[in-house]
Amino acid sequence: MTGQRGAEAPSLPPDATDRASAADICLILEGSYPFVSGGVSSWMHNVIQVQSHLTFHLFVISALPTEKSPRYKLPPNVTGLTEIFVQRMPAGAGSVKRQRRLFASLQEPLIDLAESGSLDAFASMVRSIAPLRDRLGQDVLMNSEEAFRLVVEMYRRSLPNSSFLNYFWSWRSLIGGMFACMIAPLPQAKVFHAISTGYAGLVAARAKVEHGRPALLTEHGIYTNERRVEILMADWLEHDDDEALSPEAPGRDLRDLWIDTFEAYSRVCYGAVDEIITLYGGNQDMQRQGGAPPEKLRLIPNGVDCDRWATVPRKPAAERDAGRATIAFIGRVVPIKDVKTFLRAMAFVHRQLPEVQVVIAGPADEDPQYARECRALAQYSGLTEVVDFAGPLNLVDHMGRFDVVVLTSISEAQPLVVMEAGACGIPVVTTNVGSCSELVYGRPNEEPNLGAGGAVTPLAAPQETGREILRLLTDQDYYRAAATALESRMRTYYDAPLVSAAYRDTYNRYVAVADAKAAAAAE
Amino acid sequence: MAGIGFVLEKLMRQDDLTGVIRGIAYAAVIATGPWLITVFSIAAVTLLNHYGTASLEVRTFHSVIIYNFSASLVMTGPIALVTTRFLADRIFLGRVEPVPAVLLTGSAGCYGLALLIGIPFYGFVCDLPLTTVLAAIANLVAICGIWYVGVFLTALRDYRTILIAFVVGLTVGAIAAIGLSGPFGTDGMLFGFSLGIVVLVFIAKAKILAEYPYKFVEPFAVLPYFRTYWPLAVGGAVFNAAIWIDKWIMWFAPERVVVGGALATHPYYDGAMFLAYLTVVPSLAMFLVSVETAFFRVYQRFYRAITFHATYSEIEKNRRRIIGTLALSSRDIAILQAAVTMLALFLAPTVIELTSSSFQQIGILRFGILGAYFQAMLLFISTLLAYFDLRLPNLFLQTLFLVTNGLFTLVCLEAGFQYYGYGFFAATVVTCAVGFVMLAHALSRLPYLAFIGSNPSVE
Repeated sequence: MTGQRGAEAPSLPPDATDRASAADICLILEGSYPFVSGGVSSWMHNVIQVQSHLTFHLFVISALPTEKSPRYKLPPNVTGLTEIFVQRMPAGAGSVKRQRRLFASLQEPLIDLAESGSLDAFASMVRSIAPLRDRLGQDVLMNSEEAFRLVVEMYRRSLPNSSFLNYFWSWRSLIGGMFACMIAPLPQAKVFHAISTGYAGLVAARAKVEHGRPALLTEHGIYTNERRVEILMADWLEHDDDEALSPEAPGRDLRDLWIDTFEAYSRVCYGAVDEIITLYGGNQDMQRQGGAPPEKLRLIPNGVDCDRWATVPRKPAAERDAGRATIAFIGRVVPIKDVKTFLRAMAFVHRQLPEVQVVIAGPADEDPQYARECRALAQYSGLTEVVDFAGPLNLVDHMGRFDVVVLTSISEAQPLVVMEAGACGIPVVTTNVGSCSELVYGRPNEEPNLGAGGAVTPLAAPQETGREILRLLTDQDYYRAAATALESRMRTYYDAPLVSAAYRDTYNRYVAVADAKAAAAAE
Repeated sequence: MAGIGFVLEKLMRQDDLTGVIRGIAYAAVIATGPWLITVFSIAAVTLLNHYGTASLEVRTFHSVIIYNFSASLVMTGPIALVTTRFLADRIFLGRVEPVPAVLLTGSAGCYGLALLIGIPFYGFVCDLPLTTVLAAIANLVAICGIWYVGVFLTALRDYRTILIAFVVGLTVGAIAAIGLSGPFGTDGMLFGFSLGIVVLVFIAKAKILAEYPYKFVEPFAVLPYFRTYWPLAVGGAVFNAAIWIDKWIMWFAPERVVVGGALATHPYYDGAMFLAYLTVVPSLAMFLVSVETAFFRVYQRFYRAITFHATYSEIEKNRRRIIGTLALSSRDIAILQAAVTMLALFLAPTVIELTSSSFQQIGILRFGILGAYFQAMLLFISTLLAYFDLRLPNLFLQTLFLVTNGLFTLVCLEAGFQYYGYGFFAATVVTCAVGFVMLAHALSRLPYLAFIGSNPSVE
């Protein structure tokens, strides 16, 4: 049985939790759908619902087993769910035959993989592990003396002057997580689709190199960047600060080990998958820097339902009065949205147009301290009568009364409010984050260019933001051109049916590839 | 945002690493203490009992004492070792409120066990006068009490109280036993000796209760420990049974002497063995001191350096320090013990003469002296294994000693008088050799044991 696995037409072992036949798509999800809610999860839920002609198997990667229930009602075309735990793999056998040889064959590829993200090294490890998979687990891969020697050897070669205790636990988390991904039984599926790199990306890479299945990657945020932020903020790594002791060693420390390892995992995934999809061009720059082959890169943005938003009733153009315009900020009142810059910009606008109205639409309970500071700032700036902290609003009912939608965030991916405002024909002023520039000005290769849907301003620049708002409110022609440009850009490139079709085509194409391969092998 | 961020958070559970050293720092005292007491007490009683010249009353007293010591050690061994671990943990955590309650319930448990075994044995198996039956049972209960309070005193590291309690208790016991032997014979000796033990136990309990003035809470807090530390419990019984099994088997030899209907002993064998054990007393004392001082320093340094973020080469250096220290102290002990053993072997005839023993015992005594040497080494090895928290290997070693000592003694019993003692000697040599290999293996992979093998944080 194990012999078949490496063969051309692999027969995947049926997973215990999966009684259904092979799914079309295996979605590999790490820390998101269906147990954690959020932007990626909502998107995933929508994709599964829209692609109702396909069946999906969810391969969920969690850290540790915990009591939890799905945050989403799984659509009927989800035919199975497998969950693995990167921090607690099965115990497995106490020892395996030729254990020394197994570790000898793992050592160099593992070092190579951790250093350079080599796909060949990864494939070599997968080949070493495959024949022993049913017996391997925590006891051999993590707790055997051979495993400990491997930790010591890798430590000696990479960070011999750092805290061995921290290295040991880091190794168990980083490399242990990879081992967990390597020994987990893969479900039957035609196409494997990872929704991030990291451990999910490793599973997709394994499906590709071990079973020759088509593998896709969709990255919303860039995984390595998100991990980098967490690692730089992780204070448990503080102990390791030996800089004072080793002036000659130019500071490669455990943080670098973590970051480098995650980068290596991403590189393995980039190297293995057939397509690397992301939301906007800025992410693709980072993917290229992370080692993604340019020919695999592809953009599929998030969609916005243009037909629905087009029906939202607008103020007739004739009634629009620059002096009594309504400026909206749509988003949570939290520091990352930089509401203070927005308020300062409003103070600037208010000085020019005293009767302007401002709405802040979004919950203020997440960071009460920050929300208080924002209210205080509004008061000091003389905006008490002007700004309405409206709380969360149903945008379908309220979007129509806004004249300009403003975004001052210091970090975004592809902000939905900009797209929704655009679909309603409302121009926007946003900071230059995530895909905002693409949304407002169009992608560099937009042909013909549809024009500016408003303006993009630098981060934390209230004067520029204010000036751009004033320009939109006071120049009727410019306002109309921007509204038209943004609305037609949304309809041309971001309309939900288009985006759904892009995924449908992609899935269909790779399912067909898998079917053709299976048919060829059956003959 | 997709991805497992929380992986990063729950990583550093290294605190548990220090837990490894907390529970076992008493291993040396726990292993050597009761043995020293037994050897001294029985050797002293044996010297009273010049076989042939002693009266039946003295011989009965002697037999009851030997039975009670050996039975009580095996019976209370499991409770004692598991309670030691429990106390060590609680003292480390500062959660010592249940100590008085555990002392009382545990004592009650030991006494209950003593009654459960003592009543049927002395009451129905033996053929003794009722007063002697009661005296024997009371004595068994009292001796069980020593081993149990000893655990608490050791955990307190209150060696001064231990010393005072033993000197006062055993002096009272000796005086009372001798004083009461005239008017009341065996019963008087037994009650007198028991009185001394009761004094000893009460001094100890008073000290413990003064040290832990808490209400009666969580009387059964120690019970869950039996599940986790079952190898300790089993080891406690096996360790003591292994020390005694050769004597028990020899009590079936043709030369045995039976008093009171069922109290069989082998005065030649037992007497020679307890004399032989006296030869290792200096080594035991020296070992105790060196473990508590030089060894404990390097041992603690090894684990502390890890929690204080040492590099691997520092960890390796500390490992070599442990080996260096052990090599040095074991060399000192080996030289001292070799000298004592050689001298004892050479002087064996004189010893026999001085103690008015039988010259037939010389062979047994010589094997006993050699065997005691290796048994002491075995005790050191097993103690060190306990320091590295190798509970299962240690249990294996104790079991090996139990099996070889039993088996070889049985063979020698069949082989005849001139082989008596050889089985015990051979068993100690074999077990000691195996133990040495196990210890060397453990020392060579100390970092592995610290990080994975004995680390409770590792799943």
